[in-house]
Amino acid sequence: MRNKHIFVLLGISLLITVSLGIVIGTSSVGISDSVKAFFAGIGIGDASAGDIAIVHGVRIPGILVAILAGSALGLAGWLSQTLFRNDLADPYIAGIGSGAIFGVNITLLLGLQLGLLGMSAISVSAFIGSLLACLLIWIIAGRTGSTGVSLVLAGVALSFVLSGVNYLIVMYGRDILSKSVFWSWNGLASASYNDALILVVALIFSISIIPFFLNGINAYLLGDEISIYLGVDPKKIRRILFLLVALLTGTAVATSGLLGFVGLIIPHISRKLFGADSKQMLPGSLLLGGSVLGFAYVFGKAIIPHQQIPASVVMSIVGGIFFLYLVIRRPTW
Amino acid sequence: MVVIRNLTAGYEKKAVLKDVSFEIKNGDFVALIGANGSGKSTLIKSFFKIADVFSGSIFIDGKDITKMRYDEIASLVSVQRPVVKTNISLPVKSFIVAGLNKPDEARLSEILQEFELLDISEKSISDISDGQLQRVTLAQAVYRNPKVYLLDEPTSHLDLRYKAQLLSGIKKRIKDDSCGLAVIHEIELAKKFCNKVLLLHNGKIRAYGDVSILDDISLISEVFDLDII
Repeated sequence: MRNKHIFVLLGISLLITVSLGIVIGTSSVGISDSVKAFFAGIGIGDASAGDIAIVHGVRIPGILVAILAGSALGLAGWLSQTLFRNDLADPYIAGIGSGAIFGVNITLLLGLQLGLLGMSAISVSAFIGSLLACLLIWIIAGRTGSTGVSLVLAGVALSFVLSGVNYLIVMYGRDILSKSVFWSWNGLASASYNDALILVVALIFSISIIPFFLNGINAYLLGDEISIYLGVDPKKIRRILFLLVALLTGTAVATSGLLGFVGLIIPHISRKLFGADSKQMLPGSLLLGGSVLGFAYVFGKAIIPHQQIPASVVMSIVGGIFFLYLVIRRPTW
Repeated sequence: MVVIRNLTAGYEKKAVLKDVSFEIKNGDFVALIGANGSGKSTLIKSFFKIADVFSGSIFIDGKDITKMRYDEIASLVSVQRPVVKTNISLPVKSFIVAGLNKPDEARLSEILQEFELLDISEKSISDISDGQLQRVTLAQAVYRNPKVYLLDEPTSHLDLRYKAQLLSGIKKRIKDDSCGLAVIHEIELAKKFCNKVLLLHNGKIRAYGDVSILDDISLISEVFDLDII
């Protein structure tokens, strides 16, 4: 019952965040003009074409993608912490982040035209890069029995290798650096309805699969041996979790750049609020992820007039401080 | 009813249990006794192929479970292990039905009531006492209404009151259509709660029979490699 109230509150906070995302921005379109432009865009009343273009072409896709990417990362964060049975795991642990940057850098270096399904070449290459990193890690870890530990170690090792290679690429193509860095920190700046649609598809796919495995995931959490005693093949659960983490994180990275800390922190807060039961963690991480990143996005627009601080910067600074607080509160880590 | 035929099992090509054959009839609660390394845990683990089964078969009511999937085995066999204090914050009621595809809510309520867990059903297993945790894991086994209750080291890590409660709880549930096999360290507890005893020594059965064989001091000394006689 208590959880239901919190879920309702989170739903309301999402609506507020969307509203704020519509009326707050870096351009000079004020609150009342924004509201007018919003309604004019859906056929109610009148507003200037420029205002409508800003509200419907920039602000709405921006806040939608921020919320959806936050939900995808929140969910991916919970799934990866489950996969590794470690509260400190995050979706980028499997080398997904450096894989995505590698994909982007290669595309920029070679000038590849990889646009697909309305996605830019950078988005497509980020997606492919992150999935290739996952695939490679899965193959490497699979040779050693694909346990959680070998997955983490393979992911960390691959991250280092790719970071080194990424530096080499940037050394030989200096203009790549600014584009690549801008993309990774400020991927949300180029958010479009198409990005939102892609995130919705990935989220619906994941949300429709996970409910079949909620009790299996609960058994998996208790360790491989107990999981088997409870009739659940831990290897099967690991495969499903890994696939979903790769899909959700890859999609989030492709549409919004690298958004650190969301995947790490959201599951923590969700666990604190709703408990670790998978039945609560699924809606909890979705709603919290969307609310927090959506809020970080709006906050970044509001804090300095006519300037957008990327949501990833807000998340890194605020998220980092919050994480330090967690470390201090629970020194047993 | 469990029928084990020529079971050889162990880890990484090394056999711990060697060509073991025996039967457990329905209604029997068998104490599994032996020194460390005698193969007690390996025997329990063989049911779920966590120990490698090199040869032989384990039949439950005529069906060879070494050919089954985990979920099929779990519908026939419940394993109880001492649950060490965990940091996993799973609610008690979710822990009881963990791993099941379609939990039966009515059955869950019954079990929560039977084990006096209604008050703590929403509490996390990381926040309850050792005694409660043990009751919860027994409830998890009983919920599944298994044909075979297996207990791996059920008596370690618990004080005597809980040990007795646990064993009597299982004894109560073994009826005409089920049986039990429990690793037990204290001979007195085996005598009190079990009707049969299986003595393992170096991966082979040294003796199998009525609990009264536990009174044979020379036999016990041999099984535990003691020189007290």
